[in-house]
Amino acid sequence: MISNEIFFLLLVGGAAFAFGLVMWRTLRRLKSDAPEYKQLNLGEVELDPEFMNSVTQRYGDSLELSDALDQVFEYLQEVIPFSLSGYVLRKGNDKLLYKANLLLGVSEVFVEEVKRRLSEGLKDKLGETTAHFSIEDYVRGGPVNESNPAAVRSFFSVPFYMNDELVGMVGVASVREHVYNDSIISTVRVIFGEVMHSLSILQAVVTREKEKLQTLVDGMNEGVILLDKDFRILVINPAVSSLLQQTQATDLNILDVVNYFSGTVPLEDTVSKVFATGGSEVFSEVCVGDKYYEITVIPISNEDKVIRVGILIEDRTKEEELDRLQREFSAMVIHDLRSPLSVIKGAADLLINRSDTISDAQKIVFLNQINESASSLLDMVGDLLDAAKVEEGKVELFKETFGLNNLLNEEKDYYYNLGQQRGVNLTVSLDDSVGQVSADPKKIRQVLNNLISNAIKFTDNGGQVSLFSKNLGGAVQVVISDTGKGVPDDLKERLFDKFVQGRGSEDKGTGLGLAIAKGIIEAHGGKIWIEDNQPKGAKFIFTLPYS
Amino acid sequence: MKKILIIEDDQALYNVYATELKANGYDVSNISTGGEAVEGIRNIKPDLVLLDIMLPSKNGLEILQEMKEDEELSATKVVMLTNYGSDENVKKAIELGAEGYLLKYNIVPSELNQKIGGYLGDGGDSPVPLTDTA
Repeated sequence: MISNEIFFLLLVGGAAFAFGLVMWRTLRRLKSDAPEYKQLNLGEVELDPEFMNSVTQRYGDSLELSDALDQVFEYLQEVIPFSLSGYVLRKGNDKLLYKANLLLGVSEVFVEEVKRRLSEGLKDKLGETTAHFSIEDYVRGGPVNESNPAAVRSFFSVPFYMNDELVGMVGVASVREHVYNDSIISTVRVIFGEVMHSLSILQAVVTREKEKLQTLVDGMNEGVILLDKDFRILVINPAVSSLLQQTQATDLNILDVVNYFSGTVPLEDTVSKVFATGGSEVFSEVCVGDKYYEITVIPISNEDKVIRVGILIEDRTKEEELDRLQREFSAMVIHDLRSPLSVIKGAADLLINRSDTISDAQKIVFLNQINESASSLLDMVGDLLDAAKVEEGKVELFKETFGLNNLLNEEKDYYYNLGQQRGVNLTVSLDDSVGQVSADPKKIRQVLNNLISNAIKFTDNGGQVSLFSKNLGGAVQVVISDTGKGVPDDLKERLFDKFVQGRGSEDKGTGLGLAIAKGIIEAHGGKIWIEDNQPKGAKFIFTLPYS
Repeated sequence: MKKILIIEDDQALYNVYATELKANGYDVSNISTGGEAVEGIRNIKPDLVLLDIMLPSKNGLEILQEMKEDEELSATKVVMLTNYGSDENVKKAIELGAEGYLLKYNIVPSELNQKIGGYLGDGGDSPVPLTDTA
């Protein structure tokens, strides 16, 4: 979550910085250019900072030029007379937005005539007289009055540029004649020149900040989406595509995201709610297919107003999987602890209540069962305690110096016999040059017990288990290989993790043995891993450094 | 003599239950793996099956489901006898048609005998399926 906070702090910080910079530059320009306005005979028309502030603020909020222009036209209304003012704005290569503000109730014909003049004018300027633009209309202000026959009697237009690129054209029209002189036209030209200049700077800063932000979020594992009030995506990182298991890396729109989570999270309503309330919303354990997500919807505010909403998507599948493994592990441990307890309780009950009817031989059987069950309980509790120590990194070693081959020789008869009982042959091949190690002999025996018992357990009747030692110079290597069914590749990596049962559900072990073995070997500074045995089976290898 | 089939892979535990039930006059037999259970039931035709859940190769709930879907075996009485006491498993077993759900660690042989008497209508406890779940 720390990275998320940094991200949003940077975002808000970046926007504030951009805004501050633009204001400073605008005010400085206004100050230094003041004599020019007078020369142009501006009269009462002054570009006051408050006006520029509101324009840049509006643009900063939505990053939509039309929003900023609307603000300019509100201002224009106060300083020049007109029946209709409006503009055409380029939207992409083949679209124009035409917006008209009506003061007088002019006719539809009047509105259309201004549109025609503006779009033709723009096409002329662009040198694309034949180009076809589809035009989106938007008329606001007073109502259209069809009974007003007045035609366009005064009209002028001014092109406006952003970063030296022609983006649109302003038009001012009146039903009266001779309304607009050079002074008024120059005024409008200056206003738009100033506004577009400021917006260009702001856009450059915003673009830079956005790029920085994009670079930052591109490196995040969490999916990040930044939306404006109209649900337009301002920032999205590649993690979103991969989290949503989408093949296309770009062109994801918000509907793709909303649809992906439909039925699990009402994302659209939630974003609207966050815009309205300013409070963040969190959805945990969101399950889609075989994946789990956590989704956080966060408001980003400027002066108490929510201007953006961020959506963070975290993949929680691994954590959920771990939780599930832990739950299953707990259930299994409880089950496995209860089994010997059930035998102890049942056998003791028989010995007490049926002592008159059961034979002495049976009594001995029950007593042995009680004894064995108690031992198996102790082993399990020991495993659990060992695993807890491994988990906490607190494996205690009581080191002695001894020859590892001696220890292997001491153990081999026991395992040879165990193998014989199950029809598995054990061969031992020790490297005479293996020297003495400084290690905890009891714990090394525990590791050997786990690895060799497993090898015998998972090898079929008639199979082979081999035990080798080898001097590697700085360390001794011990190899236990079997001819059993082996371990699939996808399991190899996780085999030494807690709870993971490697080789089939028939094994009633706790699944802790290999995790404990790994903890013990690593506490000695050694390594343990698994390889495939040739031609079949598994090969467990561990190393112990000499010092 | 009524036949009780105990599907249980722990031989020590089977021995404990069998000793008590045989002393009470039942014909007791054992199957120790899940894979052999359904065919074993078909052959033995027991009056009651005591069914463990965690078994090699096929679990007890799968065996129960197969039995209930099998015309010949669906009427055979089954009582779960397990150390898996999750609510989910109890619910599933009862839905599938188990007569009862007994927890091994919670019941001694003499109590088991009484319960079985109830399930088979031989006196003893009347069958109350969920009383022994925890």
